[in-house]
Amino acid sequence: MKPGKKKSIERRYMIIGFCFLIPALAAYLLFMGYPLYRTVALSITNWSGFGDPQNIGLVNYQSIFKDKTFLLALKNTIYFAVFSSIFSVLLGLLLAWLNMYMRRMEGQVFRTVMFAPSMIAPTITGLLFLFIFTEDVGMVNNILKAIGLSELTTAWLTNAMTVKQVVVIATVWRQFGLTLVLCYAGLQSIPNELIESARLDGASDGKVFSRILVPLIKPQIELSVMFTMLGGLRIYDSVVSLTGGGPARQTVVLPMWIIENAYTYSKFGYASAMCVVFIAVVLIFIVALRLVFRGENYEY
Amino acid sequence: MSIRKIGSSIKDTENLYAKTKPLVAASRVITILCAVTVLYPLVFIVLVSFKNNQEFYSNIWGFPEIWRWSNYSYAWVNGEIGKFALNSVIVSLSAVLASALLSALAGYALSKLHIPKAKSIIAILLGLNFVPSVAVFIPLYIQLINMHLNKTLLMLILPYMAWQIPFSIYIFKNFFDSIPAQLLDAARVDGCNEIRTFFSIILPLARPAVATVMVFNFINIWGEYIWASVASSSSTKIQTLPVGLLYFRGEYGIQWGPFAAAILIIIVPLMLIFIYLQRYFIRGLTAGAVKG
Repeated sequence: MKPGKKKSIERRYMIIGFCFLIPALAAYLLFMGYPLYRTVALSITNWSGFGDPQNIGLVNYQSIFKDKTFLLALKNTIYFAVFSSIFSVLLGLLLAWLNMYMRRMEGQVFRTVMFAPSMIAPTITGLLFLFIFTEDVGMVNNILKAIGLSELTTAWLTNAMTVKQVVVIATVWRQFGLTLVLCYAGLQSIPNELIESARLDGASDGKVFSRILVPLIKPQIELSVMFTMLGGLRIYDSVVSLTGGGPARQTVVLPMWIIENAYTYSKFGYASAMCVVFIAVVLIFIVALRLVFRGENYEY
Repeated sequence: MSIRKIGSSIKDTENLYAKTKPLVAASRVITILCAVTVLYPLVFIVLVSFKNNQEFYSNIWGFPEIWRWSNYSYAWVNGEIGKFALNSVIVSLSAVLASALLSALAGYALSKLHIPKAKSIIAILLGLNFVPSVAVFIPLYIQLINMHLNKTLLMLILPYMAWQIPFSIYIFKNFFDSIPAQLLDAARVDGCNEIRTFFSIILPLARPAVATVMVFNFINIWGEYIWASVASSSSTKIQTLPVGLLYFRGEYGIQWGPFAAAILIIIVPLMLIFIYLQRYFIRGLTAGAVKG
């Protein structure tokens, strides 16, 4: 085939390709892209729902960083994202590795069981943990009493010392199945010869894990961290149903404060500015994760 | 399929890991502990769903004295879980199907139809995927009302469909990349036009990717709470299960039994779908992951 002809065929497919691509992009732009642009535009106004928005420059942004609740919400959002991600990935990775030691069917059954919470809506996870950590009838306090540790019982959800950890535990419970499945898929695709030769050189199982397996499944670990950490930044539903942001706003998260400002106080301009800062935080996290995981991936 | 089976049986007999006996034992103990931690809250909820409040407080751990199926009908009728469930089913199914179709077409175009800068488009989409949806609620709400969609389920369906598109395209593109170009050429030589090639050859091959995208999006949409609560503030007619459930909790004081029953009504359908599709799901998700 002549190069010129090939070019023209490619061009014909490209036109069809655009016809295939445009509906999806149009839908996305209409319901995400355009509103996103509107949010940025609203963020420099004092719009409160009536009349035309008035441009007030960067005043909203200045007040955001003096807003104590906003700063607390930002801190909590980052706390929940970072800690729930670290624990989900470590637990998932460990269990994926241990899963390799099991018989095939056995491992499959356990993976299915441990993946089950990933399907449960965050709202429901929050409610389940309400059953578990409620002060009077909750499961944890009852277990503590039953084994004679009643001095350890506390009102987990209204005690400012414990409530954040409870949110992290609930999130890890929901997420570690996903990281487990991702890491397992990575481990499974590593050829046996690599492990065999390391064994012949006298490497212990722990050494094989830390020096060979973990570096080889770096892409899967990165994906797990991305999912759990960037997903964690959006945490809202489970906090609403578990603590409602309490006690005394100790567990307020960014989406909660944004929604409250917008729909309770009608401060739409101010809430939009918070949205823009929120997006900036997410972008910073994406860049930071790329930096942490940069460098070569090993081929095998 | 048969090659896959032979491969797996070889792997089974030569499981290198199984040679370290203490670790095999340790892996069982730790895994069983974790599995019990995961399952126990669910079993607990099942037991609670058959108790009344009095029995919930007096006999929190044991089996219910009588199995009160009436809790389920109470949740369904008095808690109006039936109405919410119908809304959720309509919203989830339409949004999932629409986003899967649009993304499959787009993923195919980006993978096989010589779109320039396809790699950059995917990278941008994947970044956008992590923009929190709460960031667009205010203008989006106004926009949908201006489109005269308030009080209709389209208020939920259209945004849900759109938000799932970037990640779905990513999964589809990765999957289509693994289909050899020769296969397409053969179909094209046979005189199939592009649309027929797509629906009769490409899409059937992409079943794992379709299953992955559908399950993933279904999980996200079925449980979505934050936009559902904002959008339905204009009309209780369009409340979905997660919104209705929190409403149910507030309205009646906590009736633990019916409340647990309502939770189960939401969870169980999803579990059944997943168990049915999980074979495809994990394969499709990780096919994307390995090459990501």
